[in-house]
Amino acid sequence: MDQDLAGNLALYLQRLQPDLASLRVENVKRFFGGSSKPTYRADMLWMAAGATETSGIVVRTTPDRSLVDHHDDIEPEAIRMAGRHGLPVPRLIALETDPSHIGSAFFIMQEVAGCESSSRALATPHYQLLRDKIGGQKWRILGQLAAITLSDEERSRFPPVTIDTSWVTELGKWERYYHENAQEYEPMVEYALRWLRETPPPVPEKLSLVHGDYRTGNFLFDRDGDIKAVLDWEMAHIGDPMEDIGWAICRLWGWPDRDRPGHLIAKRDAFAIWEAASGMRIDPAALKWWSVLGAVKGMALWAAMGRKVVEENSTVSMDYSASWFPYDGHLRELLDQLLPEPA
Amino acid sequence: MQPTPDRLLGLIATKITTQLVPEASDYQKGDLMMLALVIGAVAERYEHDADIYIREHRMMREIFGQAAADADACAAFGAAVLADAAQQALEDFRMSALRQAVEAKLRLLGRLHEWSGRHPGASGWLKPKIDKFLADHVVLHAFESGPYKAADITERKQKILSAAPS
Repeated sequence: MDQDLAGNLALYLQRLQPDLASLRVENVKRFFGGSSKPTYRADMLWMAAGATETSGIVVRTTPDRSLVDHHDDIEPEAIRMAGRHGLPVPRLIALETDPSHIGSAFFIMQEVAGCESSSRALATPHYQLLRDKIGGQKWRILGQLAAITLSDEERSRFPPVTIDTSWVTELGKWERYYHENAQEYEPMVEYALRWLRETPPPVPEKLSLVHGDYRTGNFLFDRDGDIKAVLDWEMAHIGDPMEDIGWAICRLWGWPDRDRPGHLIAKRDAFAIWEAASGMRIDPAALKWWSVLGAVKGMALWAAMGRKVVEENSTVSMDYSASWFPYDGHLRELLDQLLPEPA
Repeated sequence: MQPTPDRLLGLIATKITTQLVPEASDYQKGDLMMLALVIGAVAERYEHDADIYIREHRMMREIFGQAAADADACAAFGAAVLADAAQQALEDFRMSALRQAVEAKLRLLGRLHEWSGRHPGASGWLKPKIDKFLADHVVLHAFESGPYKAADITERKQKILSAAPS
């Protein structure tokens, strides 16, 4: 498979860049994770002035039935857009919606080399010393994302929403997705859905480009603690900027510490940085609503993985694991948000 | 001596992490580590799930019994429906049957919860009671192994189990 992929990618890239001589692709390796979109790292090699040049590339493929309901071009479109507005993102090399080249639609990015993204890396002594620096950037970038004023043309690339009903759109989307995929009746989720419908969030100050999965694990930082790229924009859309905050502070991404989201800086510091960068205020009622919605969204995503296990006999361990552990984690998040233990 | 299934599953998980992972490629390493975690959790479920389902079933029967004696709840749901739900005991103790029986009761409880939330004046005792059951339900089913283990969950679970009807 990897060899076929290397050959097909080389053909494709050579057609795309005819000025690069004797282009070939080697060392194709699938990344662990990114289960909804199988992702590969490879070396692109070509000849220039008698010497071999190399560049790392990352290929994101779109399977027939991805975890999230998206168009093939939403993610690369969001990456391009964020990059145009000065946010750190990988450089896009190609977007191909024709599945005939490698068996599915895909896009190719230039590899951002020498970086880490995981919580495990953040736990090492080297990065422990840098977590204030990384955390500060993480929340500043999110604030900058929220502050971007999109042109009408940019907004038209995403499904339309209105400022006073963006919450209805998101709730409808995740409620539907949860019920399509849940294998069993979970009364806590049904309670959360009722609460979300009956307790609408305040109207946001503005609509923004929402990343949709902004958390530790989805941005790359180098040895100096500089964030080099924000990744995984597949759930990007136009919406309430509080959505990304509600998702990013979820306890799951910095387990078990609730007050230091994603193992980085304290929540109050994070909020102050976000408010300064975005020019907006974090409304506690909005934050709670989007945190609950985030937990329901998480459960919908994990339920979809569970469905893949049950209905498609998935052999990917990540699917087994995700349909149990983070599903349980997000359920506990709902409990903490809606029925906290009396002090 | 025959090892019990949970013991065997634990050993399989250990074999994966100590013998297979070191020999695997980067992608397979991640996949196998994840598999070992899941196998550990399957062992946990094997040991505890039947006990949890049976206790939850009893806890819900108690709530339905109290609701069957409440005029407002009976008017909304029918006295017979609530009385049946209170009386219906478990007969089949296979895991699949336990799961199904608990799910049927959970659905009725969910409807009762929704109704009690919409009519706070009627049967005022009911919503806090079901709120507590929902919280206990989440805690009882929370994994004690895997990436999101937490001492407070283990402690809460033990407290609920010691107070629940056995």
